[in-house]
Amino acid sequence: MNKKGRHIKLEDQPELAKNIFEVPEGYFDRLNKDILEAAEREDSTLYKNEKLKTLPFEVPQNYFEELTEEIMAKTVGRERKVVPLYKQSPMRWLAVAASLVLIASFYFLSPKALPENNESGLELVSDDTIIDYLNAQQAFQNDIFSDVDSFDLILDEIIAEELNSFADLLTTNAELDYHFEYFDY
Amino acid sequence: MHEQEILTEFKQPSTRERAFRKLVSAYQERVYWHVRKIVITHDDADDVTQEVFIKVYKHLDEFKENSQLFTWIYRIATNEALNQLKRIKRRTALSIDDVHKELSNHLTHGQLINGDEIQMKLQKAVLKLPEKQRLVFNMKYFDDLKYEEIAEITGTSVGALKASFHLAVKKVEEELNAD
Repeated sequence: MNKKGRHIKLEDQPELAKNIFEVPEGYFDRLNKDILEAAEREDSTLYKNEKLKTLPFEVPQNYFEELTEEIMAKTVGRERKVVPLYKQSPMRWLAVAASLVLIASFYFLSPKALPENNESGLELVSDDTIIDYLNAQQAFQNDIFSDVDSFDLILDEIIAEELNSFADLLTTNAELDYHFEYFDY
Repeated sequence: MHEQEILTEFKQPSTRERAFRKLVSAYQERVYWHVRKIVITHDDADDVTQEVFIKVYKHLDEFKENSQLFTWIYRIATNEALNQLKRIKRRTALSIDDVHKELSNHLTHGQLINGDEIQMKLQKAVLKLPEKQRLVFNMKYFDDLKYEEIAEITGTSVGALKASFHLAVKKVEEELNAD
């Protein structure tokens, strides 16, 4: 009986049988698969033994604290230290020039290996040959110090070669068919 | 800290350093362990982890936010770890299978390895898996990543990953149950 004395009969109220609960979209599509996977895991050696999930690897003491600082020094720290060329101290350039002169003088002034009979050996070589040799050496030194761009080209070639061989690896190794887009970041 | 906060702070010069420090603190261990499982030795894992964060620092401004930040970092880590294996292969003039044998050998005799018999057996079994299955197995079994996340990291379909993982589990269990 309700307050007004009206008796509610369930059979007269079919809407009461309506399910008021909801499930997330696609729930039943996934449920079957989830049950099968869970059942598989129950049987699985890998999932039975929780110890297996622990890695047998260790790191040195305080490794991660030091790692943070090392990474910061190699990224933010390095960027902070970069000074544009025009702002660099002339002393630094003088030091570089002095070092080059020192290296060159060391090369030219250092005693060369002597023949076994203890003669200088230069007596056997004509002046022209010696001058040609020294000029060639000088040209070589100049090339090295002036044509720094060629180093960049060489490095670019090495990088390109690395990238190509990585691409080759991906195409030849069936196990790597993930289509990694290496520079997609 | 929320990924979005890190990204927003990183874009501001005044908070850039603080944001990157937070990013490194938040992800360095996950990256390190992910890499370590691939390259096995601590020294290689250390080199690769540092290289990963240097790359993250250089490219974070270009991050398009089409994926989660952590899956993007995982992707870089996966690439760098695989590259490191390739470098070892080149340095030692060994085939990739022989590199894996060397790594397996390191599990037995190397430093900073400390596991019981069954844990070592599992690592050796995982090392025997083909590269693709090994990656999926590590990310699914040890890191508990969702297939959708692994799909983002590896750029492959969820279906293919499920098949790979299923095969990997089967092979690993066969190894574990042998003898």
